Amino acid sequence: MGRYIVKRLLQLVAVLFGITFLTFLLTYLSPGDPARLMLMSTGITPSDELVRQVRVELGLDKPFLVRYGTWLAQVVTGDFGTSYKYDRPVMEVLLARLPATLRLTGSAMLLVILISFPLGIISAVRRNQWLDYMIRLFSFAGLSMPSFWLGMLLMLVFGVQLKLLPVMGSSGWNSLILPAVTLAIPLIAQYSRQIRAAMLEETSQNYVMGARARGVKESIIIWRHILPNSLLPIVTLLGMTTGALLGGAAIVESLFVWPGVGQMAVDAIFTRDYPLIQGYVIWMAIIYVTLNLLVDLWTHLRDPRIRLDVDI
Amino acid sequence: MRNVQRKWLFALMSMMVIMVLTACGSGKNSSASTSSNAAEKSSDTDASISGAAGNKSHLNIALFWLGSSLDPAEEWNGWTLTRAAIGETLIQFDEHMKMVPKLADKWDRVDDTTWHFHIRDGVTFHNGNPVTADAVKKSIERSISLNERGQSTLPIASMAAKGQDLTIKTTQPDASLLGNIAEPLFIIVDTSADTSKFKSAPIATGPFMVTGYTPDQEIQVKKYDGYWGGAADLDTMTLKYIKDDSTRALALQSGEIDAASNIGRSNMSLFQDTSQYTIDEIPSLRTQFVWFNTSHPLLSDPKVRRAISYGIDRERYANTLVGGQAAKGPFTSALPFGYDKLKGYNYEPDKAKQLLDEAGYKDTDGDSIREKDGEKLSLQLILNAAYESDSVVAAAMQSQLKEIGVGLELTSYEDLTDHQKSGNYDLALTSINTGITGDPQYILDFYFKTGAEWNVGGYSNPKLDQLIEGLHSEFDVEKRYALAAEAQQLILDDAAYMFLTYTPINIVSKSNVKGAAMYPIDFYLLDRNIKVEQ
Repeated sequence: MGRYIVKRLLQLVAVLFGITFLTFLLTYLSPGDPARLMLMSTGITPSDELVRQVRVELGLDKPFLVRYGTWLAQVVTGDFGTSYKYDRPVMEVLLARLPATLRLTGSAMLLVILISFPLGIISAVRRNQWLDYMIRLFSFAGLSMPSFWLGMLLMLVFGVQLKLLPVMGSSGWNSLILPAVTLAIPLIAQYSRQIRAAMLEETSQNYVMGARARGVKESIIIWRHILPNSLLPIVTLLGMTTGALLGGAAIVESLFVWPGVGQMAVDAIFTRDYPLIQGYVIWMAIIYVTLNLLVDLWTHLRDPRIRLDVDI
Repeated sequence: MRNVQRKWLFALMSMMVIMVLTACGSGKNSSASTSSNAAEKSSDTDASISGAAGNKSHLNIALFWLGSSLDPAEEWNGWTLTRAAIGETLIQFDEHMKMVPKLADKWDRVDDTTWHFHIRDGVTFHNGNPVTADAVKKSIERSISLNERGQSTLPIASMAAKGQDLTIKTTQPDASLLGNIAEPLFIIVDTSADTSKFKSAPIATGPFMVTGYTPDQEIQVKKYDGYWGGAADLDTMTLKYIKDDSTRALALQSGEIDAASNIGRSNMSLFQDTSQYTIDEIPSLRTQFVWFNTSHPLLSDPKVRRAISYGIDRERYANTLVGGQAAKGPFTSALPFGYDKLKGYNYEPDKAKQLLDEAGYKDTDGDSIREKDGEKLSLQLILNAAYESDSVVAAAMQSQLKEIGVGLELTSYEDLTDHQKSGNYDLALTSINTGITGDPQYILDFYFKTGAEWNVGGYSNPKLDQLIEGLHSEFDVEKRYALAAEAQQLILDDAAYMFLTYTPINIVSKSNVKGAAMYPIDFYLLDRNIKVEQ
């Protein structure tokens, strides 16, 4: 197990190396010159001379590999460079924005777990009854709504019409509600469907039929056997979703003026803020790999038949 | 039916979610907080939900752009300070884009390279220090040393300060100095204060001073009692950065903010009720611009370019598609450079067809696109994918030009620069801020002179070059405007460019907010006159 973790951590280094190189290459190849974009943000076209000056200042005049090498050498010493837009260290910008994203993601995931599990279980237990139909209808609706549309609808109803909640900002705890709900609804819809499916699949297993035949109480079958066993694939999914959310739900953050990393990442891409994009990519990679590792360890602990140290 | 069910389900779910969140959110002293007392609670902070105007003499204003810090000498941050009435320059533009006194109450040109400014008496910085000529000098020097834009726009050889008198010597005759010194980069700040704190709390001279700043989120200001123009009526303001168009509109509707500029065209209809909202909308200094690549064999014929110019209905684009005003020349009617004197192009399809006939283009194969010598009059228009107003106008142009027998193929890019610079296009559409310095020279020099950096269509007219050259040494403002008008008319006659619309800008405020007015140049927004009626 210990060896496995070390191996996975070493893998992380390789992964980081690969994806930073790729993103560096992609940003390098993408059209749009950060120097020009920086200068053009007010609408006037800058002179070539000025653009050149800024390019030299940002080190953009150097060849691609030199730039990547310089950046990599800095990163190894813990220096992630300086954001073009904010003119502050990348780490500082990221760390200033992380708490907001953690708060939003945490609340959304809490809602997803608290709501989708009961819904999924009810839906499976009451299969093809009216409650099941209702929940499935909700899932269908929740999955079909684009999040910006859902967010605006919530803003319109609870902010503008009922005036119960703020439509934007992050000042009071109640400003957390609408963005968290907006993030959670499509996920709740997705998860309740998946939990239902996983439980139904488990129900059709032979051991369940066996248990029923032996006259084991239905509630025991559900709570002791079906539910724990159907959890496995769901947890893997939860890991990935959490990773995606921690990366920042860009649309929802932008819509609700939520000062998290998602909004920042979109801005960074739009302004070609290379150092910040790179810092963000590293952050995303670390989250994904770590969550993956945790999920794998958990599934292994739950079900030792799922072996960890198969050849990777 | 499905809609009703969906709404019902949606309401049910939302209630569940709210209950869950209220139960698990901050359990300290709001264990049983219903949504309504949640709203009450938050009105202690500035995020008041039910009518921000209930708060005494405080306004929440939405900003559509916020720079990386508040130091006016860095990047374009000065624009935020002028918009928020925190910082002031020596000279300012009024609503007709004429230069008016601000911190300098008098100025004159001593000779071609010497300017004299008198700094208004009795002006103090937010920390109470007097604004002397020496302080102004040091502030301008700071902006120049910290910002390359400062070095390129103000070619200063030397400055001398004595009492309230400031003398500036330039390295070369510079007729656009006054307009450039009005740029918010040259906001006057107290350099004797701790300038390292200017990123979050600059010491300037405006009617409002900064009391709090959260990067990327908001600025808090309170009125400066010692303001030279008389203290503002309003006590405090929170300026919130709301980038998303729809969110800005929704926050205005929900009452979380009291005024917002740049409300999107599609949302304007929400604020037509004049008992609730006041709208101030004017054409901006932005012009929707089309370059003709005159080196393209089909477009080298001025008749073809004129035909295309007659073949599109600018009036209708302005009235129904993007708002604002139909364009005549490069500079909007808000700029005093001769808009009234220009003869531009109207929608005259018959004239367009006649011109194309004269140029020898006929539709012989019946596909409604004209051709000559076997070559189809079919052109490619490149445009910027990010600007919605450009996309809708391009689509309209495509269908209108087809009516006169000209084919137009649209291609959008994220960034047109490379395509334009390499000449790899037939027509290019984009929007340009034409009045940033309040003077015609920069734009004429930059876009229309032979071989100019952004004359990417290869247009050349020696007579025009001469006129533009003449502008450099003409210091008389009225004569400059006359020269600019003449230059514009030449450009129009040659039809080397098409000017489509002057895009609108607006500020929408709740009806109890008074004194919110939009300026053509969008680096102004608020001033000491902003107030809220009880």
